[in-house]
Amino acid sequence: MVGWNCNRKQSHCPNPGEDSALFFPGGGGEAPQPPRYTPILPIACCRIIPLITNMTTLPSGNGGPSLTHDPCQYGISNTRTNNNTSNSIHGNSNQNIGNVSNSYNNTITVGISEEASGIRRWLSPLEPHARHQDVRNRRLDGVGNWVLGEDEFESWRKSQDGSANRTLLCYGDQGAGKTYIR
Amino acid sequence: MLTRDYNSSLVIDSLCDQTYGHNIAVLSLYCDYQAQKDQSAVNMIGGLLRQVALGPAGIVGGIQNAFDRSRQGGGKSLRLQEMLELFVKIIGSLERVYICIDAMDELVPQHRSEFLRALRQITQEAPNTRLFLTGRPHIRAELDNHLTKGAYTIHIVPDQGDIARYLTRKMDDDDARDPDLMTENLKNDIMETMLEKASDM
Repeated sequence: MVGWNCNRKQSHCPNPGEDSALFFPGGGGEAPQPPRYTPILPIACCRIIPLITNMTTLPSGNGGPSLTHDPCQYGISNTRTNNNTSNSIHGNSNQNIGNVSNSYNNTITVGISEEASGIRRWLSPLEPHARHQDVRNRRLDGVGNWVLGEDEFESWRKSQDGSANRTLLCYGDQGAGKTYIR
Repeated sequence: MLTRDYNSSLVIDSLCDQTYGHNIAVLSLYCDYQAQKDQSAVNMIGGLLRQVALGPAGIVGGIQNAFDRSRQGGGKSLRLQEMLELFVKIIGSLERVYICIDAMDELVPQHRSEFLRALRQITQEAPNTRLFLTGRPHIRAELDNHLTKGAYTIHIVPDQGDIARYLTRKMDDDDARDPDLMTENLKNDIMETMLEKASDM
């Protein structure tokens, strides 16, 4: 598997071209099945093409992995014709657009839902997911982990709804980053 | 930056880990001085709205309706207040929403105060929100003034272990380009000097 740690749980793997919440509800397998599509792949993890070409068969029916993202937004379909299963995925990535066929005649179409994409652009030109992917790809294992062990972090994370203090501020200088190391 | 944006991305991923399977959203925004002109309050809140626009049943109804109305009216953008109302309404159905914003100091001051007001409105109107902000110390008073007074705070300092890990990686990368270029002695010298400098900061 290449790219974004696709073996991790799906909720950590925001699609680089995707814009949904990094974790959006529905990931527990409780997402209602959309009327027209059947989820077949954990494509929230993106890097769809290598994922698919490595597969020998694609699961069909409702037995596919639960998705943290709405299958509708990717336009996934799975149709069985005679002995072949044809799978198509219309991803909403800005980067992964194309067709891939594997040895089992599964044609994968990775496109973009025009309207969903238009709505996102209409809301804002910012693409926070891309920056997050960039930073997390550069991040070294272990760096900064100490923050997660701080009492303040834990208190904030567990703060009650509506409590006066539900904000955590981390402040610091540029530190040893750009100034000294680059 | 070695520490700060790493910290943000780490916190975001950690929250994703911990909230897996729950009705919880983790939203993020990274401010960047190179993109200041795009980072107005309305675009920032729009950036949050983008992340909740696609729910389990497709485009969230409220956003779709607003978009359709806008299209009929010539494609006008939403105003900040309209966005805030939509956002608060949409996240109302979630158990909890984490909003993580990195490098508040990199926003233009004028945008920043408007954005801070918007964030305050969100936290006041949506009790299920949790805010995570990072910034340099010089804007702390401003943040406190608008939003973060009494907030939990963590002072991010360069951690010696972090610096050593980062340096090792950088020097290994150099090695990969030309193995003869950097001797072990030179590596040790660099490591020692850098850690010493960092501890003086």
